[in-house]
Amino acid sequence: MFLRFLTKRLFYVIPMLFITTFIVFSFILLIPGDPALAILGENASDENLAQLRAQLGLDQSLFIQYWNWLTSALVGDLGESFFTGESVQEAVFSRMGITFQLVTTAIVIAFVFGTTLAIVSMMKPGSWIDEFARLVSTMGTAIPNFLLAMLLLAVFSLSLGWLPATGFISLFEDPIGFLRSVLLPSIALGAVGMAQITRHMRSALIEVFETDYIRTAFSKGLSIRQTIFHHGIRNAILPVVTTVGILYGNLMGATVVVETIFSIPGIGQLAVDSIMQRDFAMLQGVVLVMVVIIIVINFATDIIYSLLDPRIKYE
Amino acid sequence: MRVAYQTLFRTAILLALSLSGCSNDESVGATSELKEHEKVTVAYSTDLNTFDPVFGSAGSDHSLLYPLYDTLISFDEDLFPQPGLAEEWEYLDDTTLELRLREGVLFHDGTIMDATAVAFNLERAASEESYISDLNAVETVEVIDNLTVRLHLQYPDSSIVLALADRAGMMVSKEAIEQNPDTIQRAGVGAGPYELVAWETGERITYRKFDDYWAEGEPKAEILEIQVMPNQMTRMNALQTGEIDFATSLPAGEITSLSDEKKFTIIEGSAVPVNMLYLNITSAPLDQKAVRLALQHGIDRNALNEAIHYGQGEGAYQPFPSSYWVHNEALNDLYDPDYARKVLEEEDLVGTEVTIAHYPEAYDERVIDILRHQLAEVGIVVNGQAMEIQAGISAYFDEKSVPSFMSRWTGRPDPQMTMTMLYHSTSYYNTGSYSTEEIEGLLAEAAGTIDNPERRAEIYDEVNEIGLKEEAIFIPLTFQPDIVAMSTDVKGYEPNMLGKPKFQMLYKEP
Amino acid sequence: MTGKEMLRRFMRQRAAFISGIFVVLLIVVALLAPWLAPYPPDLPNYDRVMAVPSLAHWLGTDELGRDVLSRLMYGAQAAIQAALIAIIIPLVIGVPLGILSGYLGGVFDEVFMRIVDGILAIPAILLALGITAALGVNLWNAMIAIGIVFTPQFARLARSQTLQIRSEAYVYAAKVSGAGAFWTMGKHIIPNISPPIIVQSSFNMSFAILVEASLSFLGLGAQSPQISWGGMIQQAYSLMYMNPWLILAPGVAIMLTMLAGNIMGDGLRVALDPKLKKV
Repeated sequence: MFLRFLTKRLFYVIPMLFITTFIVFSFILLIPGDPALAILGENASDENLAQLRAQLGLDQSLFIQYWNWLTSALVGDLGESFFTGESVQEAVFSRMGITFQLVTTAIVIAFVFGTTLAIVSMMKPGSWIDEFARLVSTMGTAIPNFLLAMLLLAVFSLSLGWLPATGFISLFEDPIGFLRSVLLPSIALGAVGMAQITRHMRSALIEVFETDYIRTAFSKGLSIRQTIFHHGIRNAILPVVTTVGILYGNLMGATVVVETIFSIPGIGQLAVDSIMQRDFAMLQGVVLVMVVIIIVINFATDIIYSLLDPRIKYE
Repeated sequence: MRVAYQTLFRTAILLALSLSGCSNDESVGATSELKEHEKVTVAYSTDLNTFDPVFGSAGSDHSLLYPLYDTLISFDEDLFPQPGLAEEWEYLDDTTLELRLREGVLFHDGTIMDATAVAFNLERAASEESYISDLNAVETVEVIDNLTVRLHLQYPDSSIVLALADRAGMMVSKEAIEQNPDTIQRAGVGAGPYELVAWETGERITYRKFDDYWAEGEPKAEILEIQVMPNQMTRMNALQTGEIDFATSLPAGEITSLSDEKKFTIIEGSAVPVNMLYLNITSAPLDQKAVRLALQHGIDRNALNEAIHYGQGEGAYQPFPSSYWVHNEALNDLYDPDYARKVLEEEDLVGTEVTIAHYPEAYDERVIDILRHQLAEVGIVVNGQAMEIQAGISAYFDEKSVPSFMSRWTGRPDPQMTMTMLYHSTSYYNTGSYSTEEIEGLLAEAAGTIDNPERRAEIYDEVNEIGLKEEAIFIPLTFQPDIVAMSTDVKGYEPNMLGKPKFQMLYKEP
Repeated sequence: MTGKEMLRRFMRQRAAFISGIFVVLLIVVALLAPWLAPYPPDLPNYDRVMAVPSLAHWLGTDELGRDVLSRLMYGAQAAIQAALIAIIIPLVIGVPLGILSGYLGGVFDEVFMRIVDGILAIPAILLALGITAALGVNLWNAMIAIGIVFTPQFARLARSQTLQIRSEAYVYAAKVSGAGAFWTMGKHIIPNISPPIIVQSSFNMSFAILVEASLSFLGLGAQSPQISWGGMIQQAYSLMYMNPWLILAPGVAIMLTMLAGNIMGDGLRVALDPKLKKV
């Protein structure tokens, strides 16, 4: 049964990929500004232009361009940057590695602090920590990430000098350096997620507390702690899984601004640069890989969800 | 179906690799065992476009190419020619330039930099496929002996010597090009003080000291790392926290607030890059001379400079800053709002709208805001139109869809190049292809004035007098101060008027 | 539930009520900015550059000596417009398509939903960036881009709500008794799916303000002489060392507005859904 569910979802995902890439592909061609002109600049004679357009494949129809791109993409060749001649897949994958580490750290921070805050606040309802949790869950969604980023940067790097203000060090090169380099940006990114997770967790826990059988159990002497850990978390985990899945998508976008402020060479900066430069080959690659990752994560979320929730029928 | 599986497999592997952050990056090992003082880290605003000198046109590339490529001619801080790979040069007549090369110079691949290599490079730079137009006058390059080449020119050109201090003079290993010219674009092989370790696009370029460099004791640092940081605030931040040693193009005003003066040396220089309004004179409403003159005479550059550069920098009333040998103080009387209003009134053009394309950056918007208010006083309505860099360049220079473009002239080593490119009707930068016979006659005369700089300066005064005051072919605005800052242990920095620092001279005291 | 009752339910929630008042005030300030603002928002005064707050300039002046409070008030116009455009576009395009898709079902629904899911997989800010680049850099285009980005979200919401309603007895009855498709949609479906869409709109308004600010920060939103809070932050960021508190005024304005939008959204959800209790 489960296998059939899996294949069914897969069959939904694959055509979606084709549709998305086609939309992106045709959309990118709508962006005004001729890359061939941009590359040649001063040297642009009609002859040179025609030659370069042909070389870049820009002289063919949309469908042929898409087909050519797709067939190469399927064998793992995303072409070369219009401007620097760099291989697109190499650039995109190395940048994606950076962003993925950053976003994952942000989500881990959001998850750990969000769930802890929600649980602690439910253990002592009405206490200061409960008030604090409510404050965080409302304020966190309202503070723009770039503002938080500037604030953290100004305080912890520029004034106190505790953490670096720019750059990125990979987890696999230097774990300590990695933590130092991603701490501020991932807090700036993860604040929204933390607020959302606290919120969902809290309301799920409240829901459990208000069910009749828990009320009965309370009267029979069940402690709050037992309630939370035996019944509450099971109930809360589903909305949290969904939130985490959605967060990946949102943060991949939000990272565009945060990477700029912290000068982190991730996929967000690459995306902005290639839009600004009209480097269409690069942009197509960036969007493709981002979309694939987000679709894969959504897919994984669905699967985890279905495994955790016995109510879902595999049909 | 098999293809599909393979694809999935391949994608999965790539994804896994990427998510685990693996990269085939050679720079890591090379730099890890160094002592702190042997490595100099520089924050620079722009990434390189290509390592092949003949296939690029961006003025921002030079500083990234210099460490790798020595030029035939060099220049001092005031932009007078100095020996480079050519120890001596001499005009045999008006159209023959002889270069005598330095002996014992090696390229990074171990091949010898001799007359054949030079001729090969110069011919390549002057060829059709090259993006360089500075050598248009060169007809042939003749190899006389191992260390002597002669350039035979079709017509006299006073800028040829310093053109050899620019892209055209950057010598690339002949063998490397002959093996595969495409590899040069991403991995240059020159005869400069540093060889390339790695170029991580958008991130950093790492150079290692070239052990067989011809100059004894140069360069002093073992590793030179240039980090690409497009945002000026990020460069300031990185310097403040000590992540880099040296930062370029820092914002005026802001720099005065860089805390702890004992930790940093700040140097403000004056350089030739000029912020200006490019005008397309064939495009309405700039085809009306009165509108152009109102722009030219209606802008108070000193006030503008004061407002955006906080007392640093300089207002521009001509394409040359005050410390440059061709600057003429007498030209600085362009601002005359009454005259600007009068010419508009005479032609009944008060209230004319002028659209100016500019970059979507805080600095540019500030300038446009000030221009809007200044020009409103004389009767011109300014319409700012923000465009991303590439879109702006295409729209103004190629599609010609906007009449005016606020951008920077990055400057050239020789004033003749600047004058020709800004004023001559055949120049790409003169988008309306508008000039006068008088101006072009004077430009030709300056090209033929090879040995008399005073006379050349006089000719440029005349051209500026006509081209700016009477014709308003372009509108100079300001010279941005060329501000760099470094931690106090960094030595060796010498500013140059070109505004393109040579990072190879930087080193740290142990 | 009557409209009056909903209003009562909304007003009973103190935080939501205050947020509602804040939003109304903001709209009033935006509309009356030309009369309320103490100075013209773009008038430079080089003698008073980056002045600290004083009686003459309550929030100080910026790098060109312009009054920050006045700029903030005009910036509210941009914020309100951004929020409205970003909601109107998906309401006009996304919602009808979503209803149609849910109502018709079948192949149309299959194809449509895949396109919608496909677009939803592209991160919102990135899509907005791309659309702005395609349309040209200015505030209006940024707002339109945000509206387009929100469209598939609303289509998806409208469709799933329609699917729920479609199977209910009275809609089925209307269909069987020969009512036309448009009549059914207008009479039964739209009123019934409105509450969740209103709630979603409230949340998206504050998200729209965030995206506009992000685009302006990257230089792809408001351009002078347009005034937006995001643009003010972009300018202030480039002067962070000399004058760090210039970021504060627009920053706080954005935060408060987003906060109000979110709390109002929660309040509306409670007010419009009789099953939900206050959390």
